[in-house]
Amino acid sequence: MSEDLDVLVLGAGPNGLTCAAYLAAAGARVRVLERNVESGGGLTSQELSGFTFNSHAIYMLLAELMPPYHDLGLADYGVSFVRPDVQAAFLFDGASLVLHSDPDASVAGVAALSPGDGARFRELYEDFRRASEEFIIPATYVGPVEPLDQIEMLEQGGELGRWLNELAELTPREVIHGYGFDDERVEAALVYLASMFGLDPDGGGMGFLAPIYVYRLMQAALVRGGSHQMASALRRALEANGGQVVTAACVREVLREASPGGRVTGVRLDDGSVIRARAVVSTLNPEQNFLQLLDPDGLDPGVVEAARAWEWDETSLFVANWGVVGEAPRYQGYPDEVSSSLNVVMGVESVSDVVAHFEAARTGRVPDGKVGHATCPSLFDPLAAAHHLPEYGNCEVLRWECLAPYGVDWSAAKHELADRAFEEWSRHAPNLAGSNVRIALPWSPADIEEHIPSMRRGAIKHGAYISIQMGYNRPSAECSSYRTPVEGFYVAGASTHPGGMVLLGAGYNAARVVAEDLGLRIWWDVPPQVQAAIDRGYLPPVALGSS
Amino acid sequence: MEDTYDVVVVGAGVNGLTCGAYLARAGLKVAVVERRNECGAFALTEDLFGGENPTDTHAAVCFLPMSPVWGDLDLDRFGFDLLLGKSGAAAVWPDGKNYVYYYDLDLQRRELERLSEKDARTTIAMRQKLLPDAMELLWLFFRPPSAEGEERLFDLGRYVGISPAQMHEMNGLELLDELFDEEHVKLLWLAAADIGLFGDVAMPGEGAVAVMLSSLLATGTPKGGMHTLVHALVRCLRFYGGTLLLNTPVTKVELAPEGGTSHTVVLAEESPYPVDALHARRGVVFNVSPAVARQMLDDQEVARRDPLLHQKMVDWASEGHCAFISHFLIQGLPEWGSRAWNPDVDISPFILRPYDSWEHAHESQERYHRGATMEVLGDIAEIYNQTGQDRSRMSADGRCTLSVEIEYPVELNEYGGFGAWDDRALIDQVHQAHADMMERLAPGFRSQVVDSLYFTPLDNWRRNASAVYGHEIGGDNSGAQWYTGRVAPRSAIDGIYFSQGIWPASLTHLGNGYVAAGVVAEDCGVREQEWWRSAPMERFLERYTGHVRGS
Repeated sequence: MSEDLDVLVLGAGPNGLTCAAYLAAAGARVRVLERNVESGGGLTSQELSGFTFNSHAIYMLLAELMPPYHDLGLADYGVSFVRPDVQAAFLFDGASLVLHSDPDASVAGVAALSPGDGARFRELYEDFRRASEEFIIPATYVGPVEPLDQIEMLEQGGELGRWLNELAELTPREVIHGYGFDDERVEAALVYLASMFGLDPDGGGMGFLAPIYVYRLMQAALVRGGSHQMASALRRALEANGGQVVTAACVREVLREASPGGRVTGVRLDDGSVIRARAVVSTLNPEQNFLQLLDPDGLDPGVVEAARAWEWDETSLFVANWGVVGEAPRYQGYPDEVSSSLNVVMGVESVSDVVAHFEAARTGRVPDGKVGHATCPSLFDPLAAAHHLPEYGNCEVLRWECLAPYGVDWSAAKHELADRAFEEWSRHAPNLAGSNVRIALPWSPADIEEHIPSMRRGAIKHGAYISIQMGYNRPSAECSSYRTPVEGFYVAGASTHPGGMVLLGAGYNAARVVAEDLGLRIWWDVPPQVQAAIDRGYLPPVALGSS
Repeated sequence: MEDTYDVVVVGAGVNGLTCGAYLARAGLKVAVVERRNECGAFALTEDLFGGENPTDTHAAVCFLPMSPVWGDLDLDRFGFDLLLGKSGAAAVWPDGKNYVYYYDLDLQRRELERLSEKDARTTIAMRQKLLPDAMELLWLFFRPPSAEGEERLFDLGRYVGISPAQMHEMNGLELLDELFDEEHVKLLWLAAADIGLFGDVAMPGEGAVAVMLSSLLATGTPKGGMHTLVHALVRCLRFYGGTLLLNTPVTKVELAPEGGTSHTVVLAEESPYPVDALHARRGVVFNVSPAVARQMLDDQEVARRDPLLHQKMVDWASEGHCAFISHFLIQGLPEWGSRAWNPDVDISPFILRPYDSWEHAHESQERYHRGATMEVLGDIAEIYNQTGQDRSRMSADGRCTLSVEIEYPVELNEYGGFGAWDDRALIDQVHQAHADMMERLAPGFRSQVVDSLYFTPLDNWRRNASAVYGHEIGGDNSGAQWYTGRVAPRSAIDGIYFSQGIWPASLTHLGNGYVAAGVVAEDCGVREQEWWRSAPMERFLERYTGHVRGS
């Protein structure tokens, strides 16, 4: 292996692979270093006994809306999305609400539960769709804009812009409450979607994220063959351009020139070997970057202080996967379409149920297994379960997810919670039987941290979504442009704008900055959606460049 | 996306990857397609008990030291690191007797003398005669079967004064009776011969051959897990321009008109790639069980163009035996109980649990062959203790994994057939029996167990469609399916090849991929390559200079 490298990327998760693939295609000599034996980070699929389990990431919110999907030609490398028509079913005591990818069908679903709320839902859906498509999604694929500038631009940009500014003053729950639904269950369902990945429903100033979660959780997709297929494709795109991933390579130290303010020269691995490069792009978390890998003594005090003050996600996730022999869940006492829903949400009757679920996880209580969402991935992706032995029973994969706390002893608790969740699930879908379970794989917040160490404390987003840690302040004002005060050291993980959730935004945005600094050819175009937002005046053209 | 290749290999097990890597390195445009989201078939290292305790969930013993592939593909360059010890294996008995299978003749003599001085002399004399011919004998594993090869196999008796005619008549147990006095000596050689690589020890002819060949076994431990071998093969394939498509089941292979080699590999609808089919200009290699390949081919067309292949596929047997593997996460390494201990057992990655007595061996072989499933429980086992050799697999808190593999007859008649492998009560019984067996071999084992998990034969079939009835090497390797009775790597249909179901039995020596690549390369006129000339065991012997005398 040649040691003459332009860029070393730390971490082969979605952002690291994306950033590396763009830079390699721009002609840089790129190597990605990954601590685990497999690339992918949260894009992990484990195959056991003929069942493929997505132990971590599963729902792709933006899917083909992500610019790297097109720029890198991921379809040719095997990325293909499945988007079920029925997206989310909420099971209430004696009733249900079913939301579809087709908004008309969702409106009808809401009206079926609460006739007066159909029109209100349509209004919300259209507002959230426009907010997402015209601003929030485009803003995902440019660097963060300084807050006052952003407010000003939105203010000048017309009605939608002004409304977006208002959202930034509200909590997610307040934004949804503002639509005045008659039936609280409709409101509860929407608040659940907004907070499904740990966004605090009462998070002050976080209302601006409600539209994208709610809207895109009605357009969610699975990666055919398992989430890891996305990582494999990104890796292929990287390798096709001459880059490489080295797995089982654990970085101990980022090296700098000895002089004060010296630029980055490479990294040292835990086996003592040194790899030199002109630039190092880290997708790890602020603690790893600025308190462990770089010597804090030689660093800008503001950056170190921000890393020390960094707040981890308020909640983590609990995921249980089961491989079963038998039928897919059939829900008794609910409409048939519930059985074909991507997500089935249980245990939520009111907004306070959602808030209580979040609060329990935030304050360190193990969930009771009553609130959560269930998915049968093999219903939509036949590759998820082995289907070649019908004579020995049909196989399906079941998956349950809910918010959960870090900091409790999960070793026995995770099995107990998985059992309780399964029991709760089978209460609604009586055809599920524990005796059909061939293999169970619960992943607690402790497992997340063990498997993906950058997700410290099970922090799936590498740090809380609170207003002081978003956009221009993620991970700090000094580093949010993906450049850092250390010359040649860049950050591009979920702790930078736009955060986690397999949006590929951080890696994509950072690639442009690194390419500029290294004098590489920026071969990709501004995505049409981003250009439209610039044309509307919501985003500054300058934000695409070296701002 | 490219959809036209010179060669398409169906199935990315280790032999499919090997075949693909050789052909890519030889300059052909190769695609390897795999149904699952991970390649390597049974050569998997999985994260069953957390990232710091990798578990080889099926194949755990790496026979690559025997193979020319290690050197030809220069796998070390692609991140493969094979740990080698003074021995590759040990045997332990419940009565505390033990044995380490050393490579070095002096060490082996001393080890055998602990059991029987006379048998030690016999063994060493045989080894001294056989070792100068070892390379030539090992080549029998890396070339397609032939009449001369078969003659040479039955001529193996010459090293112990047994005629080819006698070899044809004898099974492995009879040959061992002829050669040795001490029971444990017979048992340890029987255990080594009984790993399935060479044939069935209880069958006349092939059983005796298996016993003779077993002294050529050499194994190592891939540092970090068996999957590092798979990763190295994948990197090698890609380095030479090969393509690997995962999550891509093949529904059928449409044959070119007679005389043509341009076949079409039709992909399943659920494949995530934006093409419906791959075109293979020069040929298709089936790295799947012949029984599974049959489902992908037009039966009548195969019957017409290659009746022999068709008959093989129709008759193909996978019913012999199947593996139930129990994996244990344990605190510390096992403490093998023994009266006269050889501490090198502790660092042996592969531990054989032979039969208790010669009478026991006869009884069990007999019971086994009439499919008396549960009576054979715990009679004989393969135990994988890779952490003994590869301490990188022990976590900071001192935990490691240990696996027990026991072969069962598949019929399960007394339990209602093969489907009973999904029966919770039966599974638990077997899994517990495996733990009990370990407790007898290593007292205190049960108290060391932190967690455990198992894979039944049905689990194995579900994870690997080629493992019909959970059979790990793609079908039986005995009787009508032994040596010349196996599927030919080059079929009579132009451009249709096999790298599974062929000679030798597919294991991690990668001989099947090597043999198949050889015939494809010959047909494509690319066999003559500067790099394609390593001998079996060559790299192993390079590493072992000074350690293995007499070889």
